[in-house]
Amino acid sequence: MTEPLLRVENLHKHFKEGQHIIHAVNGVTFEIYPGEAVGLVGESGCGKTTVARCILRLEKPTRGRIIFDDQDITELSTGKIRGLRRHFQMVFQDPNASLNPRMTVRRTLSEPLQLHGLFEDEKQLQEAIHRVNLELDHLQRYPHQLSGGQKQRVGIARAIMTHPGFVVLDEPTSSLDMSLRIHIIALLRRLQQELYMTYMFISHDLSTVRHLCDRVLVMYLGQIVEMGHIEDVFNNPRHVYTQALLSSIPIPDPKVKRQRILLKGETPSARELKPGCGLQDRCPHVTEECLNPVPYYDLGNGHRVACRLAKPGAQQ
Amino acid sequence: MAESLLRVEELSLAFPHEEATRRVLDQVSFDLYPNEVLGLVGESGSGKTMTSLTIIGLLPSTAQVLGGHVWFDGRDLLALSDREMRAVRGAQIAMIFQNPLSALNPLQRAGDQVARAVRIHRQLPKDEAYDTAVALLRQVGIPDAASRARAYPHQLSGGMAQRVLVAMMLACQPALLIADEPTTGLDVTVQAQIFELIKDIQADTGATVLLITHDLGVVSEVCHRVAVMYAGQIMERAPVEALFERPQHPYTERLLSSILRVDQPKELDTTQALLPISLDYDTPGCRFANQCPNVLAICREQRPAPHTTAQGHTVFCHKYTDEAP
Repeated sequence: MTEPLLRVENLHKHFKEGQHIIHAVNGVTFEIYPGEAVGLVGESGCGKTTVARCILRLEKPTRGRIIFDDQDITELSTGKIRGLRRHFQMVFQDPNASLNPRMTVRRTLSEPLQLHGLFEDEKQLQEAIHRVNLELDHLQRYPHQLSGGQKQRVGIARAIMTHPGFVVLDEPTSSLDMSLRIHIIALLRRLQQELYMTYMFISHDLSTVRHLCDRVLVMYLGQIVEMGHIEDVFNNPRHVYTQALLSSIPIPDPKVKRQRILLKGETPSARELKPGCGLQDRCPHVTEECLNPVPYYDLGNGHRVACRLAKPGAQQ
Repeated sequence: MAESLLRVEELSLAFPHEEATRRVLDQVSFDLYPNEVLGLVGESGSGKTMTSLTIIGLLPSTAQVLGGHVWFDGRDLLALSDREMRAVRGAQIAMIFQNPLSALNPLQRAGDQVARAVRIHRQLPKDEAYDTAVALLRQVGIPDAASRARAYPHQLSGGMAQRVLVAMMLACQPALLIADEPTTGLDVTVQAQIFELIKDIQADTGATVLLITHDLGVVSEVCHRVAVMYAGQIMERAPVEALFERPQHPYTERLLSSILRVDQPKELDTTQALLPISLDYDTPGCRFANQCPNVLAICREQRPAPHTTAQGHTVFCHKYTDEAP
């Protein structure tokens, strides 16, 4: 088996909020292999964006280790991290907020090259602009002269300028109409093959994840509750949270009648953390066992689930 | 068929733009029958929100109604004075919006805001109105309603805030409810809870609902009938099953084929995918003509007349008109 490109070991990230501590990420462990597209899914506040920010060292982890390409980057100095940034890039959710309105596309795209001393000539910009299906005259434009879809293509072009091996995509399609979404997903898939990139795709949109990713990690309340290959998790979800999440998505087909698993109430606050399963207050199948820490049950093929119902021979 | 509760007839609306005007709604027509949920579906820029704001009389002041009628309860709402319209709004037609937190007064406790709606619309004394408000909050599934009634909007989650608005709407007992993307921005498990709530309330009170959404999954689960809009024009109107099984308009076909289903992965085909709405405000014809795979010469010159293909299924497309070659 190949070596993982990224290893995240027992990652914790806590934030102080006045007197309280927000437990945003609580012991997350996973690996990403070269060439994979891995989806990190969950609802708002589950910690998915914090995990990504820790991996890119935009946040300093409270505990745990992050190993990128065999190098432990958890404790690296800011200066050293900056040198590494050309190898891992990010595409942000809202291109309106992440593109500088006072910079032309040309300047936006040449900046990462100049920062890393990689700028050679105009050809690099032209190549990138063609790769994302934009025209050369877009280089002259400012963000306000571009449509939403075009802005997101510029965001993607900026991320691939330095030919990074690893790209974090933070909800890059969530502000787009469905019809545009297909074009962006197709573009991301093509770029991944052309440039041999590894993706971590952060999203709450499970239909997009299913069409872009090879594997998926499902997060709830700062922990990974289920992980596995896309087909295993989507066809045979074993954690009650994953089941509820999938059953909540309305299916555009009036003939499909489904049993919806409705969770009680809302995600609890990440201020006070109870031992045991994060879903214990909302789960219809909760027992005493769920109040203690839940181990991962391995269902084979990398499908791992932190739910007592995934234990061999478990009863509802 | 029963008498319609709301009839939007040939509604055209424009906004001034530089020297000229832009026609953002072009002869929009549909009926809404009592006790049904009608979905008004379209992508960004299709005009669905402008249609709903016209109905409830909350258009921006620069909007110009070029023609058409909004018949409700025997009256043309477009002909009412501001004062007359104020009596209709809230009491007979209520609306819930996309961002619930921006629709609530941030300086007033949730319970007081619902109680105010109760007092105005049911003429109850203050303390009785407050008790009714708490009961309504309980009815929309807010746990520990008495104490949550004392919360300010910023202390509520998005899902809770939307429930407060639904409670406020129930206080008014409107004949027609307009819900404009009521769950956009909410998490998917919360979204499911809110739709179950709207479905339950619709079944219990028999309210008539106009649901505005871009999400065809939501349409399929909640609506009885659908009107599909593109660039300010209605393309197709149909019962929900017929729309999904036998879409007639080339735009509807493309829209349905662009859906990524969570339960059925498919190959991505960008050659079939839609492009963003590119508006040609001056075309006398069908606004989908520029992207239409079946485009005819007449499509750019003349708006197609409505063509009924089956009971309750109407399509606006020259493909079906007799004059077409």
